[in-house]
Amino acid sequence: MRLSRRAVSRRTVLQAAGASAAAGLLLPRHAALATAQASPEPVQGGTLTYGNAKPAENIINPLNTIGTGQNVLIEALFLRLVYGRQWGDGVNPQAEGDLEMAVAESMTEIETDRVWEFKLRENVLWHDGTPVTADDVIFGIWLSLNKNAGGSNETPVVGIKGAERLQTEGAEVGDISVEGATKLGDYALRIELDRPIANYWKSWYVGYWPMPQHIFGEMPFDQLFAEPYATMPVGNGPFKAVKYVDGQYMEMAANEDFYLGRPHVDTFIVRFGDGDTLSAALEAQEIDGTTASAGAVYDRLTSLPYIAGNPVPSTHPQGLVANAGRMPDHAAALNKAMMHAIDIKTINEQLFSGTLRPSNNLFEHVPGYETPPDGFMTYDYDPQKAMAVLQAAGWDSNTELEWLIIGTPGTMHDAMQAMLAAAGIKTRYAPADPATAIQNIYQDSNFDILASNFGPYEFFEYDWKYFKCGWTYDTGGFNYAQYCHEDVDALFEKGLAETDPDAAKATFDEAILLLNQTPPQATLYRGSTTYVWNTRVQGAYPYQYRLPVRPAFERVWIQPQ
Amino acid sequence: MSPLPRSPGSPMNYVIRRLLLVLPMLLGITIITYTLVNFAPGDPITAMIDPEEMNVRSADEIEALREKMGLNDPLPVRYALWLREAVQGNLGYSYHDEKPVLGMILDKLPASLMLTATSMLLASLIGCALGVFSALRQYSIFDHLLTVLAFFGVSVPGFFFALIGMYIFSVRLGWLPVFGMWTPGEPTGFNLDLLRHAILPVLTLTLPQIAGYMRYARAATLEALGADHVTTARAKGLREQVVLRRHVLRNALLPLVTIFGLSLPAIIGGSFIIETIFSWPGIGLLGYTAIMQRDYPLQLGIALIAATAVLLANLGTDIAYGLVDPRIRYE
Repeated sequence: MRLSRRAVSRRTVLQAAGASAAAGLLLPRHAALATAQASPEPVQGGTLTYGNAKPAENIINPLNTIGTGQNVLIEALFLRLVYGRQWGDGVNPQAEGDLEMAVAESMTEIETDRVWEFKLRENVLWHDGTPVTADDVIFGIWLSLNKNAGGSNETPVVGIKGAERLQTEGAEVGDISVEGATKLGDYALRIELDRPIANYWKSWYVGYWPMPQHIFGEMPFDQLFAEPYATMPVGNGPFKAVKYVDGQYMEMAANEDFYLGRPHVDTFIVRFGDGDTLSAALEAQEIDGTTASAGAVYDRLTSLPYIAGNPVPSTHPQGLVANAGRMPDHAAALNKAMMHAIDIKTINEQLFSGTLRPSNNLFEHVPGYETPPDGFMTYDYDPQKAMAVLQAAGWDSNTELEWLIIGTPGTMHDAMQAMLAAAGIKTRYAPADPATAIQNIYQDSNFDILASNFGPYEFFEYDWKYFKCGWTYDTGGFNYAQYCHEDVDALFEKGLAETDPDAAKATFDEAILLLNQTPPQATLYRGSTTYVWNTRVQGAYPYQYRLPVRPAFERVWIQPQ
Repeated sequence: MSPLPRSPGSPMNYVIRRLLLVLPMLLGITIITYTLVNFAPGDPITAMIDPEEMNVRSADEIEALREKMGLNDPLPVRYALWLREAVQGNLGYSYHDEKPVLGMILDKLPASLMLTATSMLLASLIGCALGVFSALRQYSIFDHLLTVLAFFGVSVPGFFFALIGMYIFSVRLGWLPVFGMWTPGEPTGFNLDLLRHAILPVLTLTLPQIAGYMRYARAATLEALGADHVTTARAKGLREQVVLRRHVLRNALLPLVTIFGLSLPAIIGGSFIIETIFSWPGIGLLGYTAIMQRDYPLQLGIALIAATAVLLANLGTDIAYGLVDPRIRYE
């Protein structure tokens, strides 16, 4: 099947128009630039310039984050207690592996998946030279949870004992105490959860960020996220803040005292800009790296001799979901039929530069569950099967489904719509402004079908929120498709309470098979974050979107031109 | 300079009357803007949340924030509260950054003024010169060429020029920076680096306007050339240079004063797109961000400042028109 590209991006216009205007007139400036061969040893010095979206707020603090604009800076400036897995030796983080100790030097599991003791490194310093201690770790947890502190954190401390009290009642300045975090010494502490959570430390979304108590300890809460520390934070990561120019860039310098050694590059600059503008800046070699949309832009950039593509798998299981609230008798059949109806491999090859990873497995990203249990059924592309599934479910093929699209329909939507139609699933687009996503999806469930991703978390506790019976927006869950399968819920409840890892796995495997037979969404693929880098960037590609790894900023070096 | 007389029909009375008219107009603009902004789908709270990361805020927290921001109050109540503060010079606080709106706007104003003022000046000078030149050589190859270019300039949106300019001069030739206001690591402030970064944004704001000025200047010059007094001047035996300078250009350029004033809204509108493309941290980029984030106070603040600027520019144009053309009476 050949898919046509109807959607025209600004970038496409730019390319076509620019090519016409410049054809025969301008010699390609970069034609003579050959890709530099990497020297075997890292070179010290130079500047790494990365292009990214502007921070949503001029606050660079792990306890107050919205989106990648802030996160990329935070990852360079701050260090967590531990990270979900180690980077490994390659240019990209490894897909699985052990935890990486960061501020912590070692950890001992006292009670399975619930209680741990940490010994901290004594050579991790704040950028002002003060050592990072157990007090700072506990203070960070306290600030993150404390209702009065007013943080808004994408990587919150979840499940720790005493969290609920701090989150609902709050605590005053100076009253620093968290029931589940106990100081055992200046460089030692114990963390205790309310109940066992498997894979707890593996998740990017669980963030234990020490905070400098000597700076913020007595500070009124309304000044926590204000200047001078809002944009010039005192962190503990591989780079120190040097200069922040609102809406333009942040300049950071190598931290000479970083516990793993001084980073190779002298300066790390993050420039802020619009996605297409950043692609042009990469092409003009004004920046060294950014992300580009998979497809035309990515293909064009990676066709240049001095740009390397770097698709990094993301954890989100993506696909389409049928609204069980509106169609209780047909939603599961529709989800199955959609998986059969959509030729995701062709879409991947022709529209996504081959960067998608087709999969029907909802839990491929959960450590220990990467491979589905025996008996797991895959839903290969087969429109005839899709029609048979629908027929068996008594689906009226004249029904037209309302497909809620947040934003503007793109080429992928067109391709999917045509494939669904070919299998007897009629749809019509219902585009909605992105600012209405919460209301349309979570509050009102205002759709028949919708592009969805059910749970990017590394532990089941949170992933369950997408399909647990009745766990809708009003009750703190994300089950916007109003799926309900009481047997699945019973198995999840049992699995989460289980303390024996083998027994827990057996229980969850059973649940996975049930979910496979009555799928809560049509899981089609996992995407990738498509990074593009100038080939002079060597050593490791530093920033990886929401992966449970510490980006290895200190390993990056710049090949001299 | 002595003050303008305040007799009926005097410029001072005219100015006062016009200024008094500006107030209800501004009030009307704020009502319309406030209503439209609030009727836009979504709200500031939901716009703050990444739909894929709902764990950041619970439903209760979202509701509490909505209450705290006063978003649950009826629209007229919210408008009245906003207006009460606005008339005292307090445009409120940004929902997103929690900073005073006026301060945020004033911070960004110099960057936008630099673009808009430069492009208005350049466009009027170049456009008028080319328009007059075109009229004086009516139906010549230059006239035809400039006419085609003018129609091209008027028809093609500014962002297209921006993309073409970026592609040719930045990506292909590497002569100009792609985006930003300063090179990171270099000194900020008014310097050569800033000017270099300003070239593309200024040009892309200027080009479409040049076309407009050119067409107006050409038409006005042609009209003046055919006027009776010009024929008379020529019949008197005045040199062509003198006829053109004294009798043609003076009259031909009068309507352009109006065009100059009226071009401000277009430039403000254009700056929203151009500043976003070039990551130029001015009012346009601030406004675009405010719209995307549903930051009502910031949107309203920008709309109010822009509307005031446009109304005052119109007033200034009318006054200037009267000053340069003695036939105009202030009534």
